[in-house]
Amino acid sequence: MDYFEVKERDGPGRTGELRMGGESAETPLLAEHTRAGVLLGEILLKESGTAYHPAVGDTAPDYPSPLRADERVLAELEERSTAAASPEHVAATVHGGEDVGLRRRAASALEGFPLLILGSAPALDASPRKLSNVVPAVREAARPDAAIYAPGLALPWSVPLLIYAGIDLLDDSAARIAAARNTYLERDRASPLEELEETVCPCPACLDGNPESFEGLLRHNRATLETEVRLSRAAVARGQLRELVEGRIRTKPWLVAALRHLDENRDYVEERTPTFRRSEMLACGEEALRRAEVTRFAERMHGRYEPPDADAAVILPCSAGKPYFTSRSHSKFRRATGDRALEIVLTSPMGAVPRELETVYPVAHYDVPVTGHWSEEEIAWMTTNLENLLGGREYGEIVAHVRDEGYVEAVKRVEENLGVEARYTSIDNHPTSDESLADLEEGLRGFRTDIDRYAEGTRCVADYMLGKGAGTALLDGAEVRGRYPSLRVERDGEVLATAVPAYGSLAFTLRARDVFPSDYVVEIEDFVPMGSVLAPGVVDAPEGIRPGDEVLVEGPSATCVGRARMSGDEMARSRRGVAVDVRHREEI
Amino acid sequence: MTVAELVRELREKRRERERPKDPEEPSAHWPGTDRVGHDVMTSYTVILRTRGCRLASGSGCTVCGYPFEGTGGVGAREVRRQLETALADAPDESLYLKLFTSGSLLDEWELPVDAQRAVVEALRSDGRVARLSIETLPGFVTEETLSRIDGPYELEVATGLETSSDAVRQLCLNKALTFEDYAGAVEAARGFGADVKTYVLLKPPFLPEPTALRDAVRSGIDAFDAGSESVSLNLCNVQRGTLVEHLHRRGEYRPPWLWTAHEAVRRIKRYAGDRLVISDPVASGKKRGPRNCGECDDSAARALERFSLEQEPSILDGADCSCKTEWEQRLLLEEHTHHPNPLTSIDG
Ligand SMILES: [Zn+2]
Ligand SMILES: [Zn+2]
Repeated sequence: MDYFEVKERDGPGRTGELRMGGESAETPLLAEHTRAGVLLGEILLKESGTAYHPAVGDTAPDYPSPLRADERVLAELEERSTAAASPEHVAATVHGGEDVGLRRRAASALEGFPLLILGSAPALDASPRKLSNVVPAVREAARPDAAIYAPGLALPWSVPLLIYAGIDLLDDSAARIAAARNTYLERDRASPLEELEETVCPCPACLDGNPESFEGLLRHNRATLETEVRLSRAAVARGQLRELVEGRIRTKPWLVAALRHLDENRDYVEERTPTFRRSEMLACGEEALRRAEVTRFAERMHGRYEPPDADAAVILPCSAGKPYFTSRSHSKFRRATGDRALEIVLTSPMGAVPRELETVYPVAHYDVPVTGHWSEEEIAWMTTNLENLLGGREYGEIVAHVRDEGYVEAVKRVEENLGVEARYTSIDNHPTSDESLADLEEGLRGFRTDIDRYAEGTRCVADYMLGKGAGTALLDGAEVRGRYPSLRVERDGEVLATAVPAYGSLAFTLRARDVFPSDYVVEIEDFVPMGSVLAPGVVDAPEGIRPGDEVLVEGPSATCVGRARMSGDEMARSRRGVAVDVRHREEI
Repeated sequence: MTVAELVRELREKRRERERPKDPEEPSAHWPGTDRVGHDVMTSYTVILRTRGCRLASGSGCTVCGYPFEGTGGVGAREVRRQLETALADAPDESLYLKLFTSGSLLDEWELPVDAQRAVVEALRSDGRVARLSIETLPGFVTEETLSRIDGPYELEVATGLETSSDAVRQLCLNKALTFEDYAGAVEAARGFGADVKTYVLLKPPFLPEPTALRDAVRSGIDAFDAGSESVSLNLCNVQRGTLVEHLHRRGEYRPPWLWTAHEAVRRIKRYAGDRLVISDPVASGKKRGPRNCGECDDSAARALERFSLEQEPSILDGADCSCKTEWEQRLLLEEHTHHPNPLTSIDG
């Protein structure tokens, strides 16, 4: 049985296993062109027999390979050639040139194939707009468990971005062409061999002396590409592909443009980006502001977060330590505020974070260079989010305990937009100086001190995960125990949920099944899942489910609770792969 | 949009910019040297201006830029004038006259019967022509049409098969013709006692280089099997107003490598034995023509020309260049990637 199975997802980038003709290969991978055919790991794709295009052997083809894209003529050529793709073929080519509609049509017409080849892929090189249109279109129209192979496209500097964009297999074309032209490939450049002053590469070909023969140079060039593919594969497994990409795109402007265009295609990226995970999120460039994790946090906060019942609000600076409460500065702030106010932390790239959500992913997981200088884009982002948080109700006092110019600017804009006035308590002093802290305390004097931090934090995280109202339902008749942030919710001595600080989420038990709204209920066929629910067992799944989300699984024979490994759309359309890791199950 | 529609659209766009042609002036004429059987003859090529190819009046081939050579009102008088002008410059010796139009000389829609007869009369009275080659689509080759142009010379019918694959001819070339039509024409010509020369096109649009190579070799072999006496391998170049030009502009067509032509000629010749395999690399070394790396284009093209005269495969072995490695790699990669110009940004 030939198939592709996705293992881990990190945005559109993913790892997987391709199995064909009894051999298997791990993706992302670098395909090798050999005389015998294309080598995908251990899998040999041949020109005939398991042919992937209809030109056979040394005879004239029955059909030409109409792969040189001219979208205007492709509609005709494609229709005639698709007829030639016979069932014994393991892979088929998605034509369509720049025409996204044609590409979509071709990809969905070829849904039986575990491997789809991107026709005219080389035309996407250094064409950020085309790349960020075509690749998502093909991925969206194809089945989620079809591997995408883009031949003739990879260059060392573009590999991480291509994989992030959603391509599973790349090839060594560049290594070959460069070697034939006496060109030496490095991570960020290609140089004529004769102009190379010294080689710092530790690959066997370079260590053996100069890679001057075609074969030697080919070995080095391929190793350079292969390294980038492996780094990307490891980064997906670690949940840090985006970090790798943001680091690598600096070497070519077109790569920066391509990532921006991809981010503009937000739904495509967001749907595939895990909601809760343990990896650190590094916000080292302005692209971080447009990350799906960041925009999704703001979106969920806006739609799902219900602030605690407080008459005062206080605006605080972020801390280097995460979650914020673990830092020295915040423990001082906490003493001064004494549970009397809605606490909002200004930060980049998250914008503005209420205290209750300080433990969720990625708020507890990000790191950002802190210089005290914030860009206009960052200030605008903080302003939007702060305004959303404060706009819901009127506060008797808004205390701005911030000093950095950028923070102050954001607060000033919010004051103007909302027509409110803030009391500044740290303008000239350091926020943690005794004087400032005394000022802060003074600002909140007389307000109620009855906010139950543990309960409110738990309620807000549950809302953040499952939607408004889930937290209240969870806490109904229950109590919150444990030591922050390792809390658990119990009712009648039974645990409903446990906080998992490493993932920034709550892990629910079956006792909490009523807390799940239909948006997070996966319907399965008539069986009792053991460790996991596989995609083919899923009858239907709501579209809003993201990898990492907590879900309730319901079928005629069992009810389970667990963590989604793929999006709802992928669960519904995939033939393979783990859909949900089951934590608790109950037979009916 | 279909290929046929796109070809027509591109052609109409181009036609608007064409100046009207003088019906009394031939399109072109030039002397040369050609292999005929075991001999080498002085040849003279004349391209008569006619109404133009009948196929092109509908849609036309994806590679052919000749439709703009056509003009209205060419009858017997005009053809006589054209021949007079052309032959005035011909060498004063026994000639192998290659008399072409931009279409089919035997097509009476293109060149009326009395004009065709006028041609024969003119050649008869000129007296220098020992061998006449005329170009035509296979569909116009019958005993009747051939007898119209028969005269005191050996007759050769040159016909553009382009490829023996009907699918490639239809999809890539948009040329309305089947292999069966061609085989029938060969039979008719041979029955009449004429020789047949078959044109095979190396690298129609949409075919990757290695597929194009196989297609050309296969087609050459099929042409010989059908009874053709010689095969002429035409190397596709980028002509104005064609679909090929449109693709070329977008980086989606590269004319064939001269190394591919060498390889095709070598393989066809291996099958042909004593029969002639020739190739005249028009526009070689130019951006719009067949080429290698730029350094070796001249020597590779010269080798093809010499081979065409001497029919000696070792002539091709003499040409070499370091770019052969890149050509080999591209053949390997295009076999798998189906794209003409992978990784153009590699150097940037
Ligand atoms: Zn090396
Ligand atoms: Zn060369």
